[in-house]
Amino acid sequence: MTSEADRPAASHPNYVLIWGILVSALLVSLFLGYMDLPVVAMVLIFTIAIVKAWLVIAYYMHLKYEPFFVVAIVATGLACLYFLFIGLVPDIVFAPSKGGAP
Amino acid sequence: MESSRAPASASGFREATEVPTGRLGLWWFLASETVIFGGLITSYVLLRWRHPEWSSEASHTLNAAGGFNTLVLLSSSLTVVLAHEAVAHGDLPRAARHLGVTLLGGLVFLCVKAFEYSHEIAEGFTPLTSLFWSYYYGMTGLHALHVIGGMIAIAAVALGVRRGRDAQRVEYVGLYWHFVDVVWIFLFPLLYLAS
Amino acid sequence: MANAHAHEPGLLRRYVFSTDHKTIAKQYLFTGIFMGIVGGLLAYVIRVHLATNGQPVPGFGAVGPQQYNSVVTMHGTIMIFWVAMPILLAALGNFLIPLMIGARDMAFPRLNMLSYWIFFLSTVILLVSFFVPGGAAAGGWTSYPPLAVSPQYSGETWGVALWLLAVALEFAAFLMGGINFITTAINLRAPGMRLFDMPLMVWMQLSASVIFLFSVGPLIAGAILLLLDRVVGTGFYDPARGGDPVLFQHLFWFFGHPEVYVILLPGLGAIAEILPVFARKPIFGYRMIVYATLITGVLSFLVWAHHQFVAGIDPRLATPFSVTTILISVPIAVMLFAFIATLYQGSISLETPMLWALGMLVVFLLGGVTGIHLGSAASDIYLHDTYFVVAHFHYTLIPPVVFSFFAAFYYWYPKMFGRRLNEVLGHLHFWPTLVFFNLTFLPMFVLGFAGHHRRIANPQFFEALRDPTLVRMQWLATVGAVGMLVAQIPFLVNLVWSAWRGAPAGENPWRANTLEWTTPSPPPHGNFAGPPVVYRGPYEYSVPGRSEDWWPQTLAPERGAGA
Repeated sequence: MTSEADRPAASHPNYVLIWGILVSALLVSLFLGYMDLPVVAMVLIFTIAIVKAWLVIAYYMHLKYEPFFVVAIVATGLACLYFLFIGLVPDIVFAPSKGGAP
Repeated sequence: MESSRAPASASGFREATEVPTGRLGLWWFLASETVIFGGLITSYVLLRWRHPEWSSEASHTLNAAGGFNTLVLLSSSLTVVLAHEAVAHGDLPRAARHLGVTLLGGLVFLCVKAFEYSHEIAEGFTPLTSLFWSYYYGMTGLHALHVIGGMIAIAAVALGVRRGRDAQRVEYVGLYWHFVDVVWIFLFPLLYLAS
Repeated sequence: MANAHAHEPGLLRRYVFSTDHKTIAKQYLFTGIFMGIVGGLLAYVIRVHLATNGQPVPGFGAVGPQQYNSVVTMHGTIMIFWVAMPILLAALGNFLIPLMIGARDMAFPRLNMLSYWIFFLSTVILLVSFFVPGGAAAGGWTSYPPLAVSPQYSGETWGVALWLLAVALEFAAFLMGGINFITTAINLRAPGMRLFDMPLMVWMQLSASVIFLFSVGPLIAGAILLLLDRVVGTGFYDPARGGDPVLFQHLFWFFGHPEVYVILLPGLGAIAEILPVFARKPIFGYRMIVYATLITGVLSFLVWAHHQFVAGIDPRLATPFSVTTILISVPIAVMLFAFIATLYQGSISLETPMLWALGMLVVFLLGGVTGIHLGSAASDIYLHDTYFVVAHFHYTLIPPVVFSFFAAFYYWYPKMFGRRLNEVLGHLHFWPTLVFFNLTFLPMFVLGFAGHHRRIANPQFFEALRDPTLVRMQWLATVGAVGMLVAQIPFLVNLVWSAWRGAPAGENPWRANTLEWTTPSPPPHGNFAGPPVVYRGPYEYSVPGRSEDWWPQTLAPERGAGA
């Protein structure tokens, strides 16, 4: 593959090592999921999820080695979701109680 | 002006950036999928925030099954990227084998999911039981459809690779598979652990 | 792509299952024009029904209230998704992008072909929905729940499900197309064509495709949920079960607003290409227009709730969304001023493409300023859902979809089909269209200010709407609409005339600079013999010191002369 020839050899990550980190992170989240500290556990669990996603995206998908504009493609999508979320919070999360809501 | 180091395509027309056209197209495709799944997940998060009582409903999802499935998908991401590495070293038979293992991972994932669905329906939790369950089945169902689609694509590429062609597509199908894995990385805490 | 075929591809591969971007463009073009006729006939039904207060419409029959809702729904749906997008994005984009950047074809020709056939399938499904029991969808092109979810409210059964399926397939087709456009514009540019040497039409198609790609996702999610509510009986939008109908509105408009810029930008792109050629002047402020386009694209994602000011949203959202909506008029105004400045002191010739381009600018300006009334939450409270809105969006959408489209069609037709169109017929097409368009929609501003609501099947039921002035406005609008339809006849005659007696176009009948004019008319498979080399930007017209008033992008600089 021509693109592989262009990449410097040192940029080739250790995929199995990354896998090990991912599995450890998974086990930590599972453990936290069974604990009884709801807020702290939730914050940690979602932080771990973001870290896991970052590892897969940066190393398995090689985003770390792509030029900036490819990163911008992903970032733009996430930014759109961010604005969608912000715009909807007042209406969807804090809506006045509607008749019949459980 | 000219990106003289850029690889030339078969007809002599070369690419204007250093990112190969196939890979660039695939990233744009993944961006479109990100906002589709992202829209669905955002809707779920908003409703979940509004309905704290959904925590008790979410406690009925099987954390062990979800956790195991996460392990399966993470591992299949490993095997598919190893397939990509094999292609980079010119070892197409090894790449095909890794793709086969990846396929197996997808199959295991779907079997576990099917088991979960049948268990949950037997317990009386159908897509119509409550809005939480509607989201659960909707989101995991859409994800499972993407897993199936990915498996079909991987199988097609694996067949091609065994015949010694389409090697560059291993990377593309791998990128898609990683995306499916990343979506699950978020679905797992959202639907299983947050309870 | 192979340079030589062992044998000539058969008729089926050349004209039906072709991977050539130019053929695919024509397929989208003809499908879009056909659907434009369907959408136009639906408009005819609406207008005659309203002006005659419910008399049977000639050629269609009497229109009952549910049928009226269905006609209105399908008119809007078809015009936006099956006319505007195919003719402006898919047809023009497919034809022009590879030619303008010096590429042999799109980055993914087979994906391109697949996109058209998925689009074709979506068209068939939508047309079939007219004939199913219960009729076509009747919940508005906006398809809000609970109306669109429950047959007891909307009166139809199969219609909405088929509508959702058709729209989903159309989205899939345009996502595929969009990925193709974006990748092609980024990666397949000829040597020497930097991003800022691309014609503005390519920038516009690229931006529109990116905007569409990022905005449609949440609606696809929302539509899946709507389909599940409809078919399976879930309660995603049912307040009684913890859902929220306003969620759908937000998901819809998060897409719906950027969508109007997806339609507008290619229209502006056509103007940007035509004005310099027919004024023999460079475009004014090329970079400024590019930046304004990008800013518009970003802002378009931040204005959507102005469609929901009276939907019961949190009142604190009104101000931020009003502010962003007013703000977005600034980059658009910058572009319009740049276009006007392009004309200043130019040698203007009023051939048909230029007539349509100038008409577009005038009409769009009117539409744009009426957006201020609607973008400000305070005035929108009164004007929302009145005919003012109908007038506003026709004054902003018809300029790109009709005026810019015809400008582009008359301009690039010689390149596409190798023949010239008749100028007299072109004038006979343009002037009546312009006059009758205004006659149709200007009265609607009056109706809107008077409080006449839209989507009402029988206005005469309401005493306030029986006012003779309002009735006369409705009647004028119908005269205008019928006139607009009749005004398209010279266009159809022109197509026939050109096929029979049109002069051969030659390579460059307009003496324009961009790369498509260096190819034969029509261009062969593969467009260019080898990669063209680009030496300058696209708008070098009337450059001082040159004997010619134009300077093609691919013309090599003379030795010793200034570049």
